[in-house]
Amino acid sequence: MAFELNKIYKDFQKKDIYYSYKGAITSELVEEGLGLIEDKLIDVNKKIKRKAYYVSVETLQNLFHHVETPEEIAKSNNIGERFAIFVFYRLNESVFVLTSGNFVNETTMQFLKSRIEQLNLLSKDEIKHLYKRILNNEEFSEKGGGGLGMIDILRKTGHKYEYSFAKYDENYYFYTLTIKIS
Amino acid sequence: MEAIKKDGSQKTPTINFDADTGTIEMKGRSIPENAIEFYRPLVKWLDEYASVSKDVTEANIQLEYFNTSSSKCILDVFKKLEVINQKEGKSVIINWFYEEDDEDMLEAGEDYQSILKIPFKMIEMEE
Repeated sequence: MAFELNKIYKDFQKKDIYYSYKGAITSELVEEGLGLIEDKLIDVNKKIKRKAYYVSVETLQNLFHHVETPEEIAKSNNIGERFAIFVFYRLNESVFVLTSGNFVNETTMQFLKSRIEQLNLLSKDEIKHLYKRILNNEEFSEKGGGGLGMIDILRKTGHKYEYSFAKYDENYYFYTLTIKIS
Repeated sequence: MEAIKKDGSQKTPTINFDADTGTIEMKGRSIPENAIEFYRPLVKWLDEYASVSKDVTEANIQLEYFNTSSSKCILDVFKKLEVINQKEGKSVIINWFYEEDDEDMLEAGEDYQSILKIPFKMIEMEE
């Protein structure tokens, strides 16, 4: 899997990368990453720039709050703790793509899978309605907003999520989530 | 009561809550990882302000970006203002500023407007 993981990451490097990172997700990294992304977006159309920056904030902070690397994986193959990948690249003149990846267990995989599939089925109006309902009714924790980030990304980008779960070992999967911004 | 003044940072907005003038201002970015911690003193301040509030309280909200963690906290701030607005002889207005063409920020303001019973004024800023 370590080999494959490197391959996933290396494949991205062939693209028009604006920012990429592989390693521990810390508060400093989030700040540095966002700063670099913002600098790189300077000449991009303002509307896309706003959306791209926003999606980067939510995705990096989502990783920061939720990433957990199981000890046995963290120790193997120099993966390390709080491991994630984050790649932000330009697909063409008007489309940017952001992919994040991290390890999850079976339970989290099932949860994420059904959540993403549900969200992907919603219409624009349903997403707006759901956003407002969660914003107004649900308690948020210090870790974040009850899944509101994922809903708001869909709402702002208007694109469906693409995702995959690659089996790492009998207990863990490497989860990647891809978002288009145009 | 004492005003709250905070300079903005890469992750947090400039804050100016002034009971003497009945003005509350938030300007810039609100993308802290832990928004609850940042907004807690502001919500507490508004609780105290409710008992000494001016007849007219004006909130100027000019945000460039805010993360979902902040979105709930901003709603909490507005809910405190809503309580003041419902008091006899008191009124509150929220001026929601957004950059020209920033439809997402306009929509975010309209979402708050639809949740709250409080007058909003949407103000587009030309570049």
